[in-house]
Amino acid sequence: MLDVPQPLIHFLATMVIQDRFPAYLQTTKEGRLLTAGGAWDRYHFNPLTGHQPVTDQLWFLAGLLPAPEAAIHIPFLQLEENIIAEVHIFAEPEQDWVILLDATAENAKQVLIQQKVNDLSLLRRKQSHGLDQAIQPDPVAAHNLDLPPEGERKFLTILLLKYFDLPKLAGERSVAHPIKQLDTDLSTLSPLIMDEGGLLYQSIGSAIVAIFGALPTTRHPPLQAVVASMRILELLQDHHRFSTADALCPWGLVLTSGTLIIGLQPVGFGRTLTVLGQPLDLALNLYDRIEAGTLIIDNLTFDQLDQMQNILYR
Amino acid sequence: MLQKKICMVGAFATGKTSLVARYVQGIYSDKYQTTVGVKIDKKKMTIASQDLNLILWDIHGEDEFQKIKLSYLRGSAAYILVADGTRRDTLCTVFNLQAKVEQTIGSVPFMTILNKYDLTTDWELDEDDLDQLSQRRWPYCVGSAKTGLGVEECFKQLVQ
Repeated sequence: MLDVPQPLIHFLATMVIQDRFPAYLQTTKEGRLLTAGGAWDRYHFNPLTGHQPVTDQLWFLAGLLPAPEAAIHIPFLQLEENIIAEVHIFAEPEQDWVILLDATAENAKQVLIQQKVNDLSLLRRKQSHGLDQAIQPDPVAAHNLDLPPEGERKFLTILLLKYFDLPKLAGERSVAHPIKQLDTDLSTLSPLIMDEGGLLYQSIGSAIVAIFGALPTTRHPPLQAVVASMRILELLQDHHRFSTADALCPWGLVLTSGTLIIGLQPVGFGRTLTVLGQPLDLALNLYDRIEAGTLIIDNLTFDQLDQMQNILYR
Repeated sequence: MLQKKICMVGAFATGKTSLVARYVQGIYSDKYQTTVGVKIDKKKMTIASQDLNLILWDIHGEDEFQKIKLSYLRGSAAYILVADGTRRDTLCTVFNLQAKVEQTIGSVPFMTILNKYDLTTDWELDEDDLDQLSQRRWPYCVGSAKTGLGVEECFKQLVQ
């Protein structure tokens, strides 16, 4: 137990009672109400009757009593439209306790944040959805490239993703299935690349190339690329395990870094992103060495990550 | 009266809250409002002349940041897995969640509902996806909280 002075305990207790409207009840192990007290009015419940089954009176407790050994904590439970309670249930040898605290204000804050997160996720998905959009540089992102007309040299990290199942799928009679499978995987991985500030660049054979460092960023491209790669491998592994019962993720990844020439070349009425340089060639040369479910990192990317780690932990 | 707790689980924005609102109150709103925590509703029904209270736990959608607390599932008599038919990845989430739920509360009856069938032009699920459900011998129905299609039937089938 923490050694907290008595006035402080008194202050904290007063604060909780004033701001959080605690209400409590005590039940037998058979679920009959023994005692109840506190700010029950706050939660708009009907008056409780002693010695009667508590789940008949407070139906949200159905399934929760008798309390398990480990206490139950429900951070936000909405019963009435505008009242949210934080619920704690814990057991004693002879009886169980249920405590409610008002969490309406905290919930309102969380809802604001979560709503934004979910809206952005849906928007992000909408933007990245579809094979055609996914394997072309996103036009919105391309506008943010801010490149001089003649192009420029930039330190970039290349992420090459090889899809091992594509040759097998391409051999199938159905045309729709390989496209659908690839589309599903791309819908999964492209938001992860975008989250880390990457840009989907091109599709070459069974591989897709993304670049990191082209868009304005405060983080180092190798770090962005590694974080994206780890998340991609983890998520695709999960997806394939549950959808095909195949434990092996059919994607393999390569990361290379270095200074490349990057520019937006005018083609027809639009502009096409062009990336040239040894790191891209190296990534393509490593294509044959990639194994499913693995990540290959070139020396320069590795050294850059190592240097960053040294700076961080010095 | 007999009370049965039923949990709604699935990815975020699949329409769990809308399905409950359609089933319990017969209403629908187009505005997407995220659920944080749990919303609990009650629906009285009669099955084989037995009155029954369904206690519906509408649990917040799972995403990268908000994982479902498995303690919410305690005491569930059944559960409904909700996928959004216009987002194929939500079906992957359903497969993933079912495994977790079964690990937590054991083998209890469940239904899968493929929601938002009213959005026909955006519908992504096809025969292969439905085959996956059939191969697993999962009971499922296609429905829409907006039009009410399949909602009542889904709950009824689960309870029966």
